[in-house]
Amino acid sequence: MAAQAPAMPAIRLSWWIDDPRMRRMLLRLFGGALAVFIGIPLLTLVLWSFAGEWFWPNLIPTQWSLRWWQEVLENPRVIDAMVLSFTIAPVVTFLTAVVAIPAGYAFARLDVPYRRTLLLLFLIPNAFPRIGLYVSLAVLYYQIGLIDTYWGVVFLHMIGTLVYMTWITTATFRSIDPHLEEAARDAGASPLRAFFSVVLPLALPGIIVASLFSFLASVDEAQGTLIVGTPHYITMPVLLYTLISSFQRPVAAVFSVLLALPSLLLLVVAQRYLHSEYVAAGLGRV
Amino acid sequence: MAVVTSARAVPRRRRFDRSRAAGVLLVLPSLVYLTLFVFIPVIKAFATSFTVRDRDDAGNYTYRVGLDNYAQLATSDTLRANVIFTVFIAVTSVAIVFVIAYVIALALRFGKGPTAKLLGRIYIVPLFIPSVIASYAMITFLANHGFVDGILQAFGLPDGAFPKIVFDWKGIVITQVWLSLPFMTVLLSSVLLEISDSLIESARDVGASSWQIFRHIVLPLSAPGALIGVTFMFLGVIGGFTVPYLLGPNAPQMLGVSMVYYMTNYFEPYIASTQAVAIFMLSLVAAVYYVRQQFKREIR
Amino acid sequence: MAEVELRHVTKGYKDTTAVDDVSLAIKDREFVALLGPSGCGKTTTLRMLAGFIRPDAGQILIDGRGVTDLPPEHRPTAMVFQSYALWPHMTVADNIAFGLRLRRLPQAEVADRTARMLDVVGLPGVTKRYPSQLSGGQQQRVALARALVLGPKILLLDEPLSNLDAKLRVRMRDEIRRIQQELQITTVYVTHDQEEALTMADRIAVMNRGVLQQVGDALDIYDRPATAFVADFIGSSNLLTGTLRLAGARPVAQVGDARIPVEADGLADGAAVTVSARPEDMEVLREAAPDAFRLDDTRLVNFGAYKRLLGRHPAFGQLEARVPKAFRLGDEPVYLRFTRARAFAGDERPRG
Repeated sequence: MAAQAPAMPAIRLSWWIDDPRMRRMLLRLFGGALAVFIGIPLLTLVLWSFAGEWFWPNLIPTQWSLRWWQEVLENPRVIDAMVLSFTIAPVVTFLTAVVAIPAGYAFARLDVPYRRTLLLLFLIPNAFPRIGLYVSLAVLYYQIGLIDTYWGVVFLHMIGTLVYMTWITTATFRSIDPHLEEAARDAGASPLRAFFSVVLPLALPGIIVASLFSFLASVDEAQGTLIVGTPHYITMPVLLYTLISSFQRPVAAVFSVLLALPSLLLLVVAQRYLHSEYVAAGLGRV
Repeated sequence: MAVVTSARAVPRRRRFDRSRAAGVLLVLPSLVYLTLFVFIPVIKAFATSFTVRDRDDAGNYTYRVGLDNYAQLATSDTLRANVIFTVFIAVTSVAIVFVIAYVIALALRFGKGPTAKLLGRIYIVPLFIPSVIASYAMITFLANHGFVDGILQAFGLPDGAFPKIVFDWKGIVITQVWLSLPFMTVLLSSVLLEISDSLIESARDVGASSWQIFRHIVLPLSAPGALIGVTFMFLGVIGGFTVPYLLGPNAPQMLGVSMVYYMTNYFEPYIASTQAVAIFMLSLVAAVYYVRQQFKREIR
Repeated sequence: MAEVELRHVTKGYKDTTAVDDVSLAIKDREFVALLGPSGCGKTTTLRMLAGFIRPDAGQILIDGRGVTDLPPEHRPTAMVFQSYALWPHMTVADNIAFGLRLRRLPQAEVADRTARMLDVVGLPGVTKRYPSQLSGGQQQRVALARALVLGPKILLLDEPLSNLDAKLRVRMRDEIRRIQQELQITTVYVTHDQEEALTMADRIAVMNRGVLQQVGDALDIYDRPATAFVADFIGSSNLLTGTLRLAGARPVAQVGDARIPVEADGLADGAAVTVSARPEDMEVLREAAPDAFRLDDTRLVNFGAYKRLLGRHPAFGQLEARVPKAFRLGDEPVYLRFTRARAFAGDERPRG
């Protein structure tokens, strides 16, 4: 043993750029640029939604007004789209949960034959470009009469949410100590009882987060719905396509803010529970 | 002495396994769903892409198997340009996102202090913005006579000198970067988190410089995970519709847009399916890599 | 009354046999320890008793009744898990009361039995707390209470003390034994720690690589090991491989060109054997003597209460003897004599 420990080298993990002042400055510059790049476009939208008059090149509206909000909220097409979006999303989420949670449990816990192959199949929807999948599905929908139907839209939304929720629930169930479940069986609980008394309560946070994401993914899904849902099943984002294309800038802005609200609400609520793995696993929603 | 020995009198028998049966039963609904709504459409798309529709003199349609659709894809200047454009957009946006996300991830992993904390809060925001809204925000932000143009005017840029970004490839790329940044950053951050401090400290101990540590330790160790992100984003951009539809030029078009036009406007499921297959093929290498790596990561 | 019997129980996984034809009878109120290194099949055996794993072959009987095909919820067994497996979303009281409530007992009785059981395990007054608010030792007691509250016929414990620190482990060891005596409950206890097994159990079943090696009380397995593995695993032994020679007055094992007098019950002349001798059965001499072997490269390792003398012999390799703590090494050579060595069939040295 050395009597005197040598002075530890300064390992404050300050290794990326050696000069700390320089590093701090570069980082700040980078952070500022990123904040502008991400934040200002969104802010512009908010400004537009409250603009009574905004003549270019003024940087803020020359006149403020709520009349676009009023116009949007009184527009029957908008109301219809909102109602449709919020009747599709819960159904999609519910069906997805009903199908995905048992599968996730089986993958995590049970001795499923050909488990590896099956899990591989569950990655396929992510491995193919979505729009190709949607167009293929639309071709099929034409043939079997699901095009432009409520269930056609629901089943299309489920492609993304099902894969996502299966992966998340598999990971969640796997993170629960199997002995907890065995202890319940040991105490006299049937397999179902053990699942509902022990496993499900412990998995609930993961399942809730996954459900919220599925809900939002359904509300936000635009491209597939546009292909299989028009002309009768116009959800909020599909309506936004039309609004943007018709160059009604303040109306589209109001509608954008409206549509972004549920997601942003989730951002605030979920940030505490937001495990990066959930996010990483589920980003089929670009 | 109490050694218990005995001849192996009882033959081995495999008892019926309830766990296996239950497993099959629980997985079955999702498998049925995937088969009906993913596998069958994909297989049908392949079949349709080899189906050729001819119209005879009487105006009746006849169908046959052939490669005509692919020939059209290869020979039509427009369609060929679309394929090249799609790949170009995908590669460019993935490259840009990768670099920016890596810097953010490094800052999050190794940085301390308020700036790193702020970065951690901002970068995630686009994740929660639907792509339609993001596209629209980018239009108001970057259009000629948009927000940025306005600011530059204030600094003396002459009217009309602002470059065309929206309805051009640049608009697509910038918006894709904006949208994909959180995903790539989350993924890279988690990959960097798996590199333990002790690995870096021990490299420092033997006298490696910052660059050498990055080059020989951080980069190679993060490469496999990072490639999952790259392939996944590549697949996302190649199969995207919203962004190029709202911000892209009229020609060339990304395959997603052109496919939907063929499908809904011209009602040409044959050409549309052929493009879908083309998109699958274009992304096949990425897809195979993505599936393999993701599989290795998630399943032991 | 609660007797347990395993009859030719076998369980295999893909390419290994985890439990190989194990037969074992456990008497009423007996405390049996399943002892062995990790991967020896002791936990698999316990989990088959509990009903979590179905054996590929063989039967499990409790009080003479076959339970092999019964799921865990229908078996009169209760298990304490290595990780305790306390349900983190339930309070201590709810954890213990879970099984009682499943049986639809009246609320008052549930509360009463829960409180009584917490008294038995020496942990009154924590009913409202959550498992995460308890120390490891307390969690251990709650797990025990949860297992015992249903009045099981058989108590199964899977390495219950391995997550505790050394001091607490000794205390809980005595505590578990006390509770077992108090409740007079048939108990099967899985451990890899021979000290636990030797101090707690009425009988010890030693397992290795899925095979039951020996069943006996502490004295049996220490003094009369049935296999070389047991001799090595319980306590420690010098292990040598050689050939048995029965020609002389006493059986000897020929190891290289050296001969060691051995006990060899029922082994034939010329058999390949493993010779085992405990360090305390080695006599240390300062001068050459018949049957004594000179040690080279000697050194001492201090264990506090005693020392170990380590050295090399050209034919045997490394040897080890237990010596008093006052023992010192001088310049003169050191000789070892085997006062008691035992020969076991087979020349394969046991592997953990």
